[in-house]
Amino acid sequence: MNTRYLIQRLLLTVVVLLGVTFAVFLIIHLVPGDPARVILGVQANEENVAALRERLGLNRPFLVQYGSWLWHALQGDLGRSLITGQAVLPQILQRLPATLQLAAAALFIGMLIGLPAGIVSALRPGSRLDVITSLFSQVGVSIPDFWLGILLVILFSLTLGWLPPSGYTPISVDFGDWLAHLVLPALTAGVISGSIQTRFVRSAMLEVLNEDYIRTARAKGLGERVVILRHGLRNALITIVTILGLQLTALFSAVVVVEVVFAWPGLGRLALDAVLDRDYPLLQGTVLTMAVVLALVNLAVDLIYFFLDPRIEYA
Amino acid sequence: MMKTHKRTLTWLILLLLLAACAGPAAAPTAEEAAATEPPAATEAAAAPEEAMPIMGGECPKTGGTLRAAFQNEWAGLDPHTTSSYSSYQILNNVLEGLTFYDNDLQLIPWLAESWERSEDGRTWTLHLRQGVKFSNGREMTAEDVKWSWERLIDPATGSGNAARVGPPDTVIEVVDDYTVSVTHPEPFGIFPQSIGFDKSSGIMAPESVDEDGNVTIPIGTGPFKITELEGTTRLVLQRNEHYWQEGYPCLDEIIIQPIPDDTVRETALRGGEVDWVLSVAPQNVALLEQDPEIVVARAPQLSYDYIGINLTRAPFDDVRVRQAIAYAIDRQQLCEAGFFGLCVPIQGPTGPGSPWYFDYAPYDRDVEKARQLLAEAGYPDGIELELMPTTQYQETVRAAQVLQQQLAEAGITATINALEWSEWLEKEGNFQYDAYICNWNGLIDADQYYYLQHHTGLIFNFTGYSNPEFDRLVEEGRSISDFEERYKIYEQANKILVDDAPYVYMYNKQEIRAYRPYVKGFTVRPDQANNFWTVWLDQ
Repeated sequence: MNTRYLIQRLLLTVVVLLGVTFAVFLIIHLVPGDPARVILGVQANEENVAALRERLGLNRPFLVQYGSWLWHALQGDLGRSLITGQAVLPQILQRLPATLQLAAAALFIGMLIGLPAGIVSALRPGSRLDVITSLFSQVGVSIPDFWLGILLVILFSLTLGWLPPSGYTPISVDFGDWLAHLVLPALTAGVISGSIQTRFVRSAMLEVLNEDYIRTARAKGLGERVVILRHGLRNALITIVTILGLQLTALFSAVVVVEVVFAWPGLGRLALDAVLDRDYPLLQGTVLTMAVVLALVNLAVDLIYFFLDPRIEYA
Repeated sequence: MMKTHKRTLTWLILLLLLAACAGPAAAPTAEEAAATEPPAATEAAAAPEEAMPIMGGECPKTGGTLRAAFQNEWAGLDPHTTSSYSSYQILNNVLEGLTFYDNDLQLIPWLAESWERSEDGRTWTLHLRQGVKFSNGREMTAEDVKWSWERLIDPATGSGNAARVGPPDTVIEVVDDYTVSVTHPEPFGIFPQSIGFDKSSGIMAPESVDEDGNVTIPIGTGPFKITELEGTTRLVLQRNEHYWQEGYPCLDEIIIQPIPDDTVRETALRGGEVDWVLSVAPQNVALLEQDPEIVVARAPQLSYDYIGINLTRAPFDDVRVRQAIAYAIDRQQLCEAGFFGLCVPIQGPTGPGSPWYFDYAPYDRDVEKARQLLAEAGYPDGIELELMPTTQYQETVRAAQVLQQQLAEAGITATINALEWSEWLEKEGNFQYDAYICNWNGLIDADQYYYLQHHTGLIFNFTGYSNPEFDRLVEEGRSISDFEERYKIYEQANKILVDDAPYVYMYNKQEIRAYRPYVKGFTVRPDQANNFWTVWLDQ
């Protein structure tokens, strides 16, 4: 890997971020609904709405609003929420850790399910075990996350009383409490992610196991374990890392729903509220943050590729 | 792209709300200026000789933390700019007004000990209670009242509640430290009622405003102060050590967190994670009532759920068409389906629980009559109608689905366009609808029911209704003080209104709270305010 590639990659990231923020800004302005009306509620009359729009700068042309946002964002100022009047950046920084923890935990649970299940079913395609895992992943993919979340709450909180149904304790305050609150939301997102991963891992493994070098390895008389793990899995990992990267991306959108169900104070919930309230600066801030995180994930995936497969070259 | 985005969004929100089944909720803090007390006099120095804290008595036990769960996150805590119900629920315990409605909804003196009205009826002079301190320890004076109200009525503030104090050209003057005078351009007979209604006209310390001109944490004279504010996910109310009602509040602190999902919120209550919840999904009330570890408290709301009809659009400008709609619906069934029976059918704005209730109910379901009226109006084959409920209040969507069937039987083909809040507000505010469904909330006096929402050209008149005879009556109604006399006037106004049917009234819902049995001293109020200073924990 050379520096030129890195620079190119970073420049591309900046372009992507610009594009994403612009697209989101455009879409949210095109969708009917007006923050001034949300603030004023049903008692809004035209005069009040107009006055508030003026005060909030909402009557300026779209491009001016975007340009102004961008100019301030470049200086590290993401503005203030239109609804609460609170600065956007501290709010995001306060909530980002919760989302990252949830997404990471869900990805981890997903991997715990997806990797073994995918590998096992790829080893014996068509076997009873394969059918069972396929069935499981089919159900997992189809199940709505909010519904699964509520089922888990009813089972583990209401019936068994093992885990708290909602809320969040920072890890720095009390590790045990943090973990207890994390389990259910992470499980909800993780089970769904795991069932998707199962399918991808299975097909990635199947493909690799049909490769010539696997046959060669077997012909050399290597033990099945070595063939699967060293030759098979190692090569399948390239695909799997891609999947995990994509999965983390997908989890970012999945946690929106999970965060709402479990009252988890993350970015997803903040973004959803921002959409519903047409809180432009807050939405822009959360989207930008998510986009930055995802861009970093993609960058990491590319780097991991490089280490996994030295044949990959970057032009 | 936009369409897909919108659809995904709507779908997502719909799912969320279905999951949440948006509880009894959060009516849209509708409100307007003015409230009179039914039996009490309006003008003429309505204050009693002696001012006393109405909640009286003392805390059986002090200390402790109440863990409360709300349904929605609050949208800002600046009393002058927010209109969010969740925000008001917090502000109610932080800010206080010069007058107050007690638990029986009687108007009583509060931060003002007395008030009087000038001869010409335009100036009110209010005498403040001495020794009332803000939670920062500074004494509240007339200057603070002037500052708060001037900020509220300043058009630049953009408050939807400015009219509670008066129009922008209202003059507020400091007479001395403990006296303030308010001069309105027109006589405003029910001013004391108006400023007792919600916290927008409560007194805030100017220190609340930060260097950027924003109010993030308001400082008031209320029993609690906001000490921790984690965005909109957690808020701590701590006792105001300087509170003027000695011995109150009973609690040390209240931790408030929003839990949007009904099932999860109720599980948190049943599992003891929280002690008190602001809202319970109506379908779960029966189940919760069976739980001996839960107290479910209810009170009839003063608010009503209704259909607003667009009078600026044909064929709805024809009174016969509107009456046909009123005849076509079965209110009892709507109440059962829309709100699981926890409601009372109504045919006018005031319900049987209100002192302003009028026994005039011409619209018992009559499908034949509805068809006949449509035919007379020139629509023998029926009409088409788009119903616009909002996903913000799920019961309006449920009601729309029942309405669709009921209207069909009378030859009215209804489609449902359930919009999310922000879009709904825009369409409703701009007459871009056939018929919307919503609730009108937190009303006490007849003036609030009949004047602002129905008088020609007034700001809450979203249907375009106009009837000069009705206007004359409600104008007269707000100018006099005698209850009996006013009752007769509003009785006539009510009849005209119900006959004209710009709105089709459906039902009064019940206000529902649930808490653990050791939570004592809490009263569910029909006006939906939650006052916590008398709440104590028996544990």
